[in-house]
Amino acid sequence: MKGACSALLALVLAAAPSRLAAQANDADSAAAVARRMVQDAIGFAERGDTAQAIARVAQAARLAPDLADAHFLYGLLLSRTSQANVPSWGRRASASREFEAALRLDRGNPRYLIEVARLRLKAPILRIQAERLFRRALDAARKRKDPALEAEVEAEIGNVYFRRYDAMAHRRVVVGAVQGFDWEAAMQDPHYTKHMLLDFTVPVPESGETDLARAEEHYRAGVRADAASVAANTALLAMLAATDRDEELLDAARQFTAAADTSADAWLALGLGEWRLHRGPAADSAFQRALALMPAAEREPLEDLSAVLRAPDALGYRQLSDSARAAFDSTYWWAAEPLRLTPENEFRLEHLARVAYADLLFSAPDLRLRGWQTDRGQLLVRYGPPPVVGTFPPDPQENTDDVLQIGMITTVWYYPEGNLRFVFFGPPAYNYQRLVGDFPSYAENLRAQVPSVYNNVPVAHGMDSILVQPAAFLPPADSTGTDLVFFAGIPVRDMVTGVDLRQGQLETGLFVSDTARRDVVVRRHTESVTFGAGDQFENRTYETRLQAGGYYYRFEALLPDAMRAARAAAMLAVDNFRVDTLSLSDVVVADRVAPKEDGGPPRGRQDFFIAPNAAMRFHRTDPVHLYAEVYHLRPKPGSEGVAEFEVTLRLRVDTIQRTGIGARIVGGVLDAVGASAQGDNQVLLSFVSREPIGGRDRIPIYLALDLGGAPAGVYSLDMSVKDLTTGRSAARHRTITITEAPR
Amino acid sequence: MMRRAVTAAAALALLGQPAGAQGRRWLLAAGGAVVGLGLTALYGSGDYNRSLGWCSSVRCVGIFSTVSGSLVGYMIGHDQDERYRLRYRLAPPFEVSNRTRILRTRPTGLELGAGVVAVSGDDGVELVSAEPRLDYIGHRARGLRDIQDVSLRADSARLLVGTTTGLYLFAVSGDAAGLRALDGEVSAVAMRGDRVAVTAAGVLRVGTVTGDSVRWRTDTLALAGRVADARWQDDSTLWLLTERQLVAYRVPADSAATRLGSADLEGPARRLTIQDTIAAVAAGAAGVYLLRLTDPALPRVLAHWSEPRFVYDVALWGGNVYVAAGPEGLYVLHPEVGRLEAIGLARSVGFVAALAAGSDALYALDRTGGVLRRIELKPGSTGR
Repeated sequence: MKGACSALLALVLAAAPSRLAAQANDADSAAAVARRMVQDAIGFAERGDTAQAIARVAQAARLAPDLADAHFLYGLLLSRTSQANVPSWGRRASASREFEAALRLDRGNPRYLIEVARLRLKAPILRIQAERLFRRALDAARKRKDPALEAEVEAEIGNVYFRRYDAMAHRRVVVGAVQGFDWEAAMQDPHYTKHMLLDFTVPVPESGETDLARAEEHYRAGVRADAASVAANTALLAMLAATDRDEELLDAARQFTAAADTSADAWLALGLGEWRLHRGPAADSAFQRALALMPAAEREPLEDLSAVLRAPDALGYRQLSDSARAAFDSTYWWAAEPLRLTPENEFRLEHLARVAYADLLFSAPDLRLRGWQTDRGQLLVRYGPPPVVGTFPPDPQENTDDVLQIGMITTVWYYPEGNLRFVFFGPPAYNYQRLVGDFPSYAENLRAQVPSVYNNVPVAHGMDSILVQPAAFLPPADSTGTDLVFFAGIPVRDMVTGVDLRQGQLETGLFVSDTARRDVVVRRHTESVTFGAGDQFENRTYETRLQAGGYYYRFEALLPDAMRAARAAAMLAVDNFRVDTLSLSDVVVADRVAPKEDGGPPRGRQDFFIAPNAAMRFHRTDPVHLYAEVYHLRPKPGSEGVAEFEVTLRLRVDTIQRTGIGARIVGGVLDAVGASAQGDNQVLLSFVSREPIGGRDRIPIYLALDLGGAPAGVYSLDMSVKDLTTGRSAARHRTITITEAPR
Repeated sequence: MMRRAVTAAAALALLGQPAGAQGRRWLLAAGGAVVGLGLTALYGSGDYNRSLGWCSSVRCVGIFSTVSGSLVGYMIGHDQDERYRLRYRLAPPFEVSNRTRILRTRPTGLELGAGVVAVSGDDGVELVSAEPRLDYIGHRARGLRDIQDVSLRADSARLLVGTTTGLYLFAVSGDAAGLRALDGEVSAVAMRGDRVAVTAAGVLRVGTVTGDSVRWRTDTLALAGRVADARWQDDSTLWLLTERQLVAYRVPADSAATRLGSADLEGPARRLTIQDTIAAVAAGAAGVYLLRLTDPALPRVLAHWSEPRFVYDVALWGGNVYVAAGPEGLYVLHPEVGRLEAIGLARSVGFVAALAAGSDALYALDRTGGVLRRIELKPGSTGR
């Protein structure tokens, strides 16, 4: 409201000549007092106290009936605080009287005529009159050689036509025996909307074409009159965006920024235009410029994330302090970023583009609505532009007691992916529609499950998953920290499928951040891949060293030629193996583990061939190879440096309940003694090993499990080691998947 | 009675089909009046209860239905006249006969080689025969994203595709996959014989296609501004179109490229077409330029037409200039001394986003329907 009043104030200040200020301190006449009261009213309006402002200016208008500015301001305040509904009729009538009084005193003032016309727009039966008044205002603006006002009026006239077009655009006619679009059926039957839009209706070609062409003529005339006009430019940009004329949108936005370099609206539109033509870096730069140019109050709704959060989260979000909210925003976009291998955050750019588009398209200044506040705006920001849109005329058979519901246009948005559908009702020729019937509840329920979707972003469309098996090991004796090995299975074969190239680049990256979101590891690698090869090498391994603590890692892969990508992200807790007590490395689950057979006892993973299975997914007949390292074993007293420890391996079914599973160790054990298997839904294998430590700081364990045709399912694999000398134990856990089909 | 009224209304609706010329309002008002009179006659001759309230007399019904019919007819006609005025504000209607091919990708660009039309889109390049049947030939560069420009060798043996990540070379026939020929964002590519000119990452690079690869000259030429299009005029003259300039370069086979001259344009220039010594430039909101290139050191603007809302592409054929004006359609311009006269507008070709002129036909990309159109033209077949 305060924003609206400030805008209003700006209008008034533009309309009221500077004589107001100059003459306010003049003679102590009634007119001078009234002028001071007008100034007071402006002050109240600026501070958001509209009631006081109206009271003060009403007093001024009574005190000085010949003061046009007082009547105008009084009418303006009444007009802007009135609605386009029946209960507001009295207020609109009062506003009209005040405007007429102002016009009697200052005939042909284009600003006054614009406001009268805007007021007429709020009454459906007076809309034709509004158009005539706008044309009078246009003539008056031209006579007074006021290009800014001329552009504003051209935009208003264009809007009249564009609203008419909007009611006709995407118009569909029903074919067959169906009566019309039934929103209740759309609510109850999840298939109804799809069938209606795709099977039982056909679009009417070039529907509303005449009104669209007229709107464009006026918008372009406005831009010609004043290239920096926000009203004319934004209206033109909205029209171009709504009709998918993206090249023209970009060109118009560039012209706008050239004419109004400090206009945030211009840069916002430029960002939208660049983004629509897939120019990410340019879009990013334009959006940043727009945000930098905006005062905090204007920037806030643009950056506001409450629309894309679940309702309870949004409630908490709105209660955050400014600094906490900024931190939340930063964290949100940091976590949401689809791909760090690309320079820009595509989801954030898409969000900004959606907000900019919603603001361009659904704002209704006459109803004091910004686009992103409306039902359509909120849904657009959450789920993106609807792939299928249909509008249906009012049902002539409609019989309702609510006169305000008669003659409403029905607009349907349909998202085939996810079968989302939204039905809106709205009066024709107003840029306002709201969700009909139970659809607000449907939208809220959907929001609880899917607060936002960005699947229209090219890089995210068809984003594949990378399966990563991180494993922590004790670093060499002279080092600190923990060695982390990331075994990643990149779906190269899927990524290159259908790309008509013999070879290309594959970029991979590992990004590890600490809990404060500071990057602690950033590794990028570019390699050539042969696209046509039937068998792609999909395992990639990155090694790094981290201090103990909590981390977040992302593993990404990108084919820049085709913009196909895959990624993995997860939290990571890193232990410190330096504590001088028995500990066990992570268990590496592999397709194959074999010693290098160089003679001496193996001293660590460097002495093994390890073919990791990043997905930890095996066919039921495949052997499961395991590798782990035991640290800080104590030699058995009197054994000349031989450690004695018990290894226990438990395999438990997690997601299926089947009996009779069995497993046996088929190879790779150290000195397995007393291996046994038992259990019903689980199998327990244990053996005691005696290993000469021989100056080693770790004892590697490697073994291969034959699951004996275990049924498909998800299994927990727990390995524990007990030092029989000290009695201490250490354990590790993995989850593996057994499939029926080959991997 | 009711059936007749419906028939009359249908007749009125038929009359209300899109008008071919202005003045429909009076025609349809007269038609409406006739329908009104007809209804009155039916009303007067029928044998049924005529109790309509205060206006039951034949005279009253006649006046009411005739006036109403005229008004309705006038309003329908007025709307059609207005639509006609807005559609054909710059040129009279121009009917074209065309064949279409529905495309598999969302099309963005068009290039013509010998007997082959290459349509670039959001998933590679579709190859269609330039013959009247527009047979589907194949799909190349599948999976490549953000295609900026495409060039076909004159014999249509090789296809070069420039994207935001590089330049890729494909064989038009066969099913061999393509190869990356250059790294970096390519904005324009032009091929003449085996010679290739590419603007990538702010420089002009020239090379030669040899088999499966491109052998690049080591020297490059730095460019100012983004190049929107590139065309060879002859074996050693290359024209680059930036947003505000058309620039000529001498590009000999055995030495470095040198700048010859330029012509300033109002931007943003988008596409360039050259026929002998005449060039046409599609300059977006700035319209169309026709230039003489007889002396590459001194290119001269012959005419400028800035009337359409936005020009996407342009083609030269049969002495006329064909203009892809997006949702407005396809304009036909005839060059006059110092100006271009709009002599026709074809609306039936949809949202014309790209054009290419062949020897006997014009190929247009209709973005609305996602179709390629082959427009068969005859000299002097325009509307005015």
